[in-house]
Amino acid sequence: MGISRRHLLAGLGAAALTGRRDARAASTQYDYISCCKLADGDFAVALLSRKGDLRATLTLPARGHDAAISPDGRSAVVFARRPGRFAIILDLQSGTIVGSFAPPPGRHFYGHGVFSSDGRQLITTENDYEQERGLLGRYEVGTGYRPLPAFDSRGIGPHQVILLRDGQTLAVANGGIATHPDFPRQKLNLATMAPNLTLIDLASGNLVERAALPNVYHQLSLRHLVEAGDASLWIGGQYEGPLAGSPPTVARFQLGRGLQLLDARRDHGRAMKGYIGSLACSRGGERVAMTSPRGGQVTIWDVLTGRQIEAFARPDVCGVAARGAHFLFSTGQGCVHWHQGRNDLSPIQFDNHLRAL
Amino acid sequence: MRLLAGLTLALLLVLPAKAEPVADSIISQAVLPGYLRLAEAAEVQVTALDQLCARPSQNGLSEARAAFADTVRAWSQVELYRFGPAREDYRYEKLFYWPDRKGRGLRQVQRLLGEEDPSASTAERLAGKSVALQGLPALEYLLFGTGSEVLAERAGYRCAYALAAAEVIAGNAEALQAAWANPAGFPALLRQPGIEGSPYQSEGEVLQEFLRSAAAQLQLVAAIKLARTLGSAPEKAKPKRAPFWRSGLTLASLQGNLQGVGALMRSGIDQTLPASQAHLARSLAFELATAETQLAALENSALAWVDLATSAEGYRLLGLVVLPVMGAQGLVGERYPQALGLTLGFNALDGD
Repeated sequence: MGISRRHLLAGLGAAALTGRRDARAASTQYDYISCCKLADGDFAVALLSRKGDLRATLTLPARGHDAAISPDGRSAVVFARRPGRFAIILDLQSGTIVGSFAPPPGRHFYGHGVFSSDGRQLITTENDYEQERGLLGRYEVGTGYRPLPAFDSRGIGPHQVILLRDGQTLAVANGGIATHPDFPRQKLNLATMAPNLTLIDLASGNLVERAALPNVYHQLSLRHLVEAGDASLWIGGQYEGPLAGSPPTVARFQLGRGLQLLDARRDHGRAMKGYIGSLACSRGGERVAMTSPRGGQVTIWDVLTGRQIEAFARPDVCGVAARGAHFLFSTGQGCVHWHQGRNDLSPIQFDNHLRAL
Repeated sequence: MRLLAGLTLALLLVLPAKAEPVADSIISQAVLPGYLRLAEAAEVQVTALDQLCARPSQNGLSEARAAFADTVRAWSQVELYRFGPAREDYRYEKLFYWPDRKGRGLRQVQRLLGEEDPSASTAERLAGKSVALQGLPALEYLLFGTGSEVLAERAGYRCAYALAAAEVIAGNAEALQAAWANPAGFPALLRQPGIEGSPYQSEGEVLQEFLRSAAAQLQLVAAIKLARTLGSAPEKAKPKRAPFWRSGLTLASLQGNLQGVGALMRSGIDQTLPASQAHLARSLAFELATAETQLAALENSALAWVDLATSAEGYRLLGLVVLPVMGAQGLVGERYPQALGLTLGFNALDGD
């Protein structure tokens, strides 16, 4: 019995959602990956089991952010948190670092990326900071991640990029906030920021679609996104305007209907504090989980109705990934939570994103 | 029974500090006086420019520049409050569009001057234009930048634009002061965390907001206004990255930033520290005083900011200021929250 029930179920679920992920049967002893900060203050990437047991930690040059997983499940590329410039290549069979690369001069990573479905290209979100232009960096995997000509992301501050399940279209959350390494992490254009969502053809770089919220919401930075089972895109925002009341944070994009803001239930909306750190879709594609570390709150949303159906508190929660029919969450306090259990790995502090392998 | 009485006494000793929301004393002793000073300085600045435009003279220009300096000092002390009313209607960016990394704002100001665009010469119309055109950095260029000597000679377009900018600045300062003075407005959300519409759910979150603002301001001073400006060597220093270099007010504004943090911490947060941690307040006062003294000495050295940052000795002395500011940042950003049981989460503190 080479294939466990868990892999079979996971494979079925994955096939139902994306079709392309079933090739990951070449799975490893690792189930999840997350950047983290270790007790000694070093930054690292952690490889976890599905019960949140720590299987390996590999030290990073500085604070990391998210990882892209190759379609065959054999490699991961871990990105520096903005405005960093390192990308670390991991072999997930051996759990070791096997290489690294950096973007061309004058650019830095925003911390997210995705592989093409044939595994030949890696696409990253980058800042061409002198031109104040958002880029999708492209790297050829087979040549040791040599850069290919980049695409224009059609917005400032592209944060997360995902590949839609058609395997041909990239979806990019352009956060709209201009930054420059000369002023680390200072937001330079809050009064005029203009976030958007763009769909870009992977083969040509052509713009397929661009969507934005009405101008009154221009201070909602669109940052993270996930494709749900009905092909809608769910976007977690970070609000830069005044926080009184219940500021908007969640948007949904549907082809033909554009972008639409969704309301959380009142108290839960407030506890989100205008800030979503990460989001994930369940394996079956029917539910989306969002984390709000500033309010220490998780909200779960029903894809078909667009309604928020559940909420619970988890201090400093941010990482989230699908786990069976449910989700796995990680926190800055070093906890990993799932449907009916938890594992405390403190003093490790888990960073913003958790990703299923 | 005696034990119970002892407990009650202990509670009474703790309670008075709790009975009144800490936000009350912070607002009444730090935030409001700060904005009141700004509103007053901005008013004086309007008067000075009004007089200068009516009767241009060297003396009048000096008065206007002095009024600008007072406004910058006052602003620098409230620069740390980036939440609440400062976020409404882009008031923060309208008052202080900085950093202007590509000189984009400056170029817009210069274009207006070149074209003598009449839409910038009344406050009403200027207020509707780009945030880069109507705040302190724009007014600084008008009063101190290339061609500003003309203000002493004739009341032309430049003076009208400067007066309009001063009026817009005064309007925004007044609006901020009014918002913080309105008991039913934003202050209510701080005083009564958990009420409808409040982004805060506990007094701890309110304290966190203020602590985060203070820590972020100290980080901005140490890491960006100083360290990034200084670079790795005097010949590599980029003094024009710092705010208010044109008016020679960089050092004054940095002192204002530190004074603003000190005023906030003394107005209520220091008093909430448990007795066993009261030394943190003394350490913070020491770090801030050290940095302020160093900055004041440099300000008296008669070297202009640009020359100071690029001379070997000035560079060395400015580098020394970074250390106490970082020390203060560590206290406000880490030690105070720990002492108050408010440790900010790894993800919540500085997300992405």
